[in-house]
Amino acid sequence: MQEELAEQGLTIIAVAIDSDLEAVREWAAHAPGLTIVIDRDYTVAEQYGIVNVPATVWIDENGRIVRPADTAMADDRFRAFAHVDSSVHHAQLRAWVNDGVLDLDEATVAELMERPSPELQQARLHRRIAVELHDRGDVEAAREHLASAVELAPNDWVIRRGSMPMNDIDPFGEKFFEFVGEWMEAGSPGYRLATGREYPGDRPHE
Amino acid sequence: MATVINDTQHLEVEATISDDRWLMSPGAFEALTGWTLKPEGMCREDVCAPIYRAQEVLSPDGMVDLVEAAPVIGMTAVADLARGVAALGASASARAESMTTLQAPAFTLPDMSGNPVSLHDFDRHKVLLLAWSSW
Repeated sequence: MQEELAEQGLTIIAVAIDSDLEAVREWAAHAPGLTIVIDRDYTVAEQYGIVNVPATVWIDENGRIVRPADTAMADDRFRAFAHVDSSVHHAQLRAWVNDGVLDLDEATVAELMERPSPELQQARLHRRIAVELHDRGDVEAAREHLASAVELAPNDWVIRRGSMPMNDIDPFGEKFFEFVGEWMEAGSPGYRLATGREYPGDRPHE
Repeated sequence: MATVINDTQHLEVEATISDDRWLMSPGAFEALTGWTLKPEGMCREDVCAPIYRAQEVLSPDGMVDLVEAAPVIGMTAVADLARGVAALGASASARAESMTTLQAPAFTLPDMSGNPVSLHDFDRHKVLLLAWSSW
């Protein structure tokens, strides 16, 4: 699909929202030829309002955001868990790239951009400090800041789940499912667009 | 020396950490943020933001408190005084405002070989940002 759309003039930039370079390298090996950049401080995630991965943002030829951050699966590997039918997003992407067709107007896109709370902005800054301290080898100090970040933004996947590896927590383990439960209790914030979500109103992980 | 992490880089700055405050000379603060301390407030180009809480924002000897001064210029700062590391980013309202313009924020990030890649490298192209991670 990547090659097909590239022929039609689409550039794909894969942004790794990840501070673990080794882990990124391992994943990148599966996608040779893809332009991959590494967002260790999560600044692109912040600027584009990306609250979870995998997610896509569409930018047109004039540098305008024409589709906001939205869960987008490359295939249906996680369909049973996430209840997202990836073909819906793929069809929309083809319509945009091939024919310039967009299903969201500007006002809707602006409305769907995830505006941060003051707490989330603070959390993001704590996380940046954590990465710097972790790089220096001060793991304990890094964890203090990660704890502050999670306390400030308990429902942001990028903050909460994204800090699990640095805390030696399995991001697919018990703590993760605990988080998913809390996140759903809070009304599944940050998932308003949910392209291809099956059973509207349904919750993932049920 | 201390480290400040902003939206684009990790910078070594001159800072004095005393009395639970992260203090910088007005010159160091200007070098970091682009905002100049003037009698009318914090100024950049032809905009000046008044300082309402001068006692918090400035020390008695005229140094700038990074954490207190950040909101004056539409930013937020978090400082780890013990380790000499601070992070400076957009305030929530400034970030929300820039998001609703729908102008794609410029960024430059390293690729797998450490070479910088900018969104601007792909001007005039349709771009799909694909956020992913190993976690």
